[in-house]
Amino acid sequence: MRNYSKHLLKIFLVILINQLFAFRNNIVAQENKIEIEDLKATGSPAFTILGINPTAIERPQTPKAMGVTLLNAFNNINVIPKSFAFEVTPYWLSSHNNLEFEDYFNHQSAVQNLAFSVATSPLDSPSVGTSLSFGFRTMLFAGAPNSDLKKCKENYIRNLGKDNTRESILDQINEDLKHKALVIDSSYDKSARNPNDSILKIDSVYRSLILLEIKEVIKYRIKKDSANNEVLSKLNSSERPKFFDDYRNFLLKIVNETKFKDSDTLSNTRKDELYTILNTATDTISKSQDNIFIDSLRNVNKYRVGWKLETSFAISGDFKNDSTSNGEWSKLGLWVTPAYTLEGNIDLIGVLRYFGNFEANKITNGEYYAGARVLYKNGDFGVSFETLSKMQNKGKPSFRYALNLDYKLYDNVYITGTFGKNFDGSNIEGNGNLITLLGINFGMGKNPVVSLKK
Amino acid sequence: MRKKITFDTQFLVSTNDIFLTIVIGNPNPGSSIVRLGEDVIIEGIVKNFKIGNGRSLKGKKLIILTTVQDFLINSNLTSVTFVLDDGVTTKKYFLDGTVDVDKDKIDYKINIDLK
Repeated sequence: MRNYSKHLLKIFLVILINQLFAFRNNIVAQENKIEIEDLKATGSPAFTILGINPTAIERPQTPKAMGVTLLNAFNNINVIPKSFAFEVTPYWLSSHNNLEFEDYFNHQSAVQNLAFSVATSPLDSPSVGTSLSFGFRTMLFAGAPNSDLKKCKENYIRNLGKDNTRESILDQINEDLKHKALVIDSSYDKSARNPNDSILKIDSVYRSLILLEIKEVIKYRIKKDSANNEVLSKLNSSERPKFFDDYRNFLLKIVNETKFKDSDTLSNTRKDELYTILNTATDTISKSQDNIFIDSLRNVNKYRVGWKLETSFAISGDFKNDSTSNGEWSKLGLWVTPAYTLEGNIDLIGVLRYFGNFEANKITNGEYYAGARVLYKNGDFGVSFETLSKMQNKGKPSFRYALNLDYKLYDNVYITGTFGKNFDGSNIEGNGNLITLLGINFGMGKNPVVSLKK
Repeated sequence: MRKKITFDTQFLVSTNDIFLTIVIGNPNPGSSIVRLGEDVIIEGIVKNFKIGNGRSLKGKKLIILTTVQDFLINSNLTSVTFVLDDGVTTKKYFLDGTVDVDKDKIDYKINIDLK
């Protein structure tokens, strides 16, 4: 009953907040909007400076793929593609045969994280044409893995070791069977075969011999390896015997259940077929177990603690009427984001940002931003406090303070609230600077949009 | 069934001790099992491991099986370098391969006759 009421309350809140969200949507449909996330840290800077969030981004993995992507997009040098989003990390386009997993996991360099981005988007109405932007970003300091991630890695490596052992046992079985087949073939052909037996009966006897031999080989190989203390030495004394017993029983079950295809000819390759069946079945064990860990490990940048420093740069140009001869510089952005993450999901983030607008290819209105944010997340709930100051070439500096609250209702559905003081003169109605925003986000818990004057 | 890359070679031993190192690059995680004949002598991460003295190893076969999993989101390249060093000779055996599907594994097997 309690769960039912809680569920009803959630539905009611969704409906109520959906109405508020529709109202909020009208508020934020303004020019010059900039999201708090943009000031805190950038995603791909070429996308950020254009204010776009592309749904399809080209991310080539080889130099050839990169060339093809760029060639296809900019096929005609006089025509700028309308909606193009591209990011590449050059370091990973080539192989790095001496770079080992442990080194990369513990420490990542600026070169490894250096990414270049290119994007285009239509000019704001009433202008006709396209904006084109270039950008780069990197992590000068990338922190270190947190303790949960380290434990995940240890479990993963242990699991990979088990998989390696299974493959090694199967490999030994295969080698054994190559020799055994000769014995089966020669002894069977000479002594067991009755010339009056039908082909099907001969084949059936042959199958039984193979199955028996394979089972003996399986038991022998697993017994031999399980007695060797070097194999899977990292497993504890209760895990090791169970691993080998389970695997032996698994293989024997496969063999017992295997039905050979009907054939009217003798075949010397039945053992190969059975080896393939055993190998395929073993592969399914490894896939079912690894993916628990590898997806978490792949978020190695997301769960890093300690000092981090990200820097990004982007510049854009406008091409009226989509003609390269009408190109002019339009915007420039520089972000420096130092951060310190503590174990226990506490982030301390700073932001330094410069944003410039071009007129006649010269920067006129430059704006500097400096701020800090403290963020804490615990399960479905997140809270942060941020302060931001804005300084322009002319005029007094202006300040903003905001308390943000996030609560996860369902996957990718968040209630968000922001309360505080905005920059002077920046509220929608033109009066006051109080921030009171309540909304619902269908995304990653992004904060509400705040309008800024140009 | 996942890919398997096999390589057969030989190493001329001397009277010195022979050391084995296995470098798994690109930077994917992996694990190895090293057999001398049928017997496992080490498993897991192998760095500067003493296999034995060249005189006692002569005529034997070193069989190494390394399982590597594709870890990086933006690359499907994998590689393993097996290094044998006895102070007189250093041999590096480099094998590489590309997985077809993201997160797939590749098994690298090298058979080295110690002569």
